[in-house]
Amino acid sequence: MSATPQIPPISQIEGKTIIDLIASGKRLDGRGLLDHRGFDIKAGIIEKANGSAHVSLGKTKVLVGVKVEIGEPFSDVPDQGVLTVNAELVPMAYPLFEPGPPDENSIELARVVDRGIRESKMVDLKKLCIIPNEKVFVVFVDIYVLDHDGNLIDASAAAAAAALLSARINKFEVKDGEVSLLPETMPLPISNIPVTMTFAKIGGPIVLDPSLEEEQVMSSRLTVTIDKEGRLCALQKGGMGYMTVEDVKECVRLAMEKAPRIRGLILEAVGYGKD
Amino acid sequence: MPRPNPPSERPVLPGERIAVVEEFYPGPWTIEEDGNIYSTVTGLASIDQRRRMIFVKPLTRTPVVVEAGDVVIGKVTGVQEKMAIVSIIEVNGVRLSNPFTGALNIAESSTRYERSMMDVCRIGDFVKAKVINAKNRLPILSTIGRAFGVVKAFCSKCGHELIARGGSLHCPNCGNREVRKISSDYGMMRRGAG
Amino acid sequence: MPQLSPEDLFRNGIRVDGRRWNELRPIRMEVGVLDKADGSAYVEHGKNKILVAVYGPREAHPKHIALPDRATIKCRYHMAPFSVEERKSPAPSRREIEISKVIREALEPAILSEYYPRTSIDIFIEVLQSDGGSRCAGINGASLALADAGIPMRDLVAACAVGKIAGHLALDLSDVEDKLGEADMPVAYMPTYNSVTLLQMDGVFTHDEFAAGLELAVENCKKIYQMQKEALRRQYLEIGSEGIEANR
Repeated sequence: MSATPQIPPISQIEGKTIIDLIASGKRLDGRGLLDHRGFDIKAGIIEKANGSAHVSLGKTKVLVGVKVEIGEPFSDVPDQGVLTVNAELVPMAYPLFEPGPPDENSIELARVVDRGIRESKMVDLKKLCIIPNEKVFVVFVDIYVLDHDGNLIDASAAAAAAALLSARINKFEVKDGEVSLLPETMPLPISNIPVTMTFAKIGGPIVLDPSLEEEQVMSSRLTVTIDKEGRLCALQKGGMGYMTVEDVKECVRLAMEKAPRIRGLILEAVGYGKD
Repeated sequence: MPRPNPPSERPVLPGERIAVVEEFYPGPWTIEEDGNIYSTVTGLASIDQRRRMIFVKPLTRTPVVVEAGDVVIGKVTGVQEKMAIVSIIEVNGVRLSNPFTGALNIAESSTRYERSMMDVCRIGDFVKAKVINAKNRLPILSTIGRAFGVVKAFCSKCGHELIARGGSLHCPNCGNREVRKISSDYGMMRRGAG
Repeated sequence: MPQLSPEDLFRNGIRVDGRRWNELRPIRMEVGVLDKADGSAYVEHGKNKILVAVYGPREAHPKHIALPDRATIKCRYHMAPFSVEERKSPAPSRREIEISKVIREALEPAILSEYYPRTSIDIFIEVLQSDGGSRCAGINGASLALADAGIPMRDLVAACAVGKIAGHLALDLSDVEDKLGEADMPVAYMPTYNSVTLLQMDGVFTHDEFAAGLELAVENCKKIYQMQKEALRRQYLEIGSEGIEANR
């Protein structure tokens, strides 16, 4: 059952400072209201994974590993590969993260990242079909949150995108209904690159990329995912407050405006398209 | 003497704007936001002319929570040296669908000196008490007064219900005698709670 | 089931169930349908059949979830095993866990939880039959069940979804429309505050489609809000003040 979370006592002390500062157009870390903390993206750091990426977003650190296996397709889409996204809020990342089955926060994180990838058709799942109805590639995207300083969604989405872009799978051939993997590799069939941006409403104003302290005082957040054609492909409101209709429209407009630059950062980091 | 409220009662729903602050003070079951007063429940908006207040009389049931001044009945679920824990099951005659936990301190148990809480009530007893404080929804109870105290108790030897006789309790089954802070309502509890 | 293409769902401006692009499915709402619950409601929205119960404010369990300055809101959205074509396992799925969270967050801003510190207000949404848009119908029912329990609220929350089928904007997608359509965007809205309390979307919308879709959703949330008020009026305001005696 979903329950109202406890608010850490520290944020109740610092909360007013943060809200007042934002009301005057400033933030604790000196950023402008609509500035991103900036991504530091390193791809291909886990050799045993098909693809991987480590993303730092300010002090938030997320590692994503992509593993690709051969499995069975879903019966309703027998000619498509399978994509699954899972998120682990690793206990080392934050004092309130506990080991155990995924809680609602980790499930929400995984599902929001999943929607961005799936709805933008980032991975062309049709091309991951090996033998229809029988064998397809199954792409596991595992998000590993290592250090939580806010905005896990954007960091995870960027890391997942970079990991998928950097992933390589074996070429294969099918003989008499048997699949054999070849030593040569190829990239995953990528057809789009979604960019995910999260806005938080703190007092009246909207800020981009909330830090952990800001998340603890925000009334609500809105996550917007934009595909490479500049279209909207996922939205998720979170938090216990509300946004006005105008707030929502403004967040979507800002996300559309800012998406190409962030997409550029991700592409640059993985050196995509160079081979 | 001021007349009772005028008959101008009108049906309202949650979120409905019922006045502006320039006209009235917001009373019970209303909320003020940005100079407007809204109803928070389904009911009849009414005006208290004397206090220039608008309030709503709910027509739905309303939450039953424990407030200071309430008279409650509860089951003793824990007894320590100086304190007892009481699971409150009835508030001002209204049965709760879920109990609230209250605390009874030995100093508030009776006017005479009680050496131990065991002489006031024991686990499994039902007590009638007055709520003297309910801040933070943590009811603090008192059994001071003739009407308050244990209203139903059980023999600590054989478990049979005890009978009040001459200021003390005795067990019709095994003859055991026990001490409690007894309410004048002892044995008159309705509906056989518990 | 015959294979449908997205184009089949929108022929000459008419959808498979006979609706136009901007029409809601038939909606029926009833308040106070359960005996034991502190508040309850039943909503039929097209083929969706949803029962909602509210308990509380009651003592918070387990104790550590109690909050010192407000009530804890707990919410469970759950689908009955027989609510969909293929039997669904009764164990909560990842989808249900996420929806429970977003519905709770959609209702939090409406509930005056600060009046009842250290207690919990528990909302149980049971989807008895599902046909697309069940989270929105669940929110509509939950608002009514909260009002039925007399829990003070800033406003009722009304919800509906807009989507896209074969390139056309369409209101209130059914399950088949959602599966074959290109986008679905559930919206929950508090009319008095002109504010959005739930917003999700998957699929593809251009900026203009999104803007028009949001307008359409808000406009129809207002219609649903009127239906919610009507349901409360029927239960409590038309029978005069008889309701008072039944309670405290």
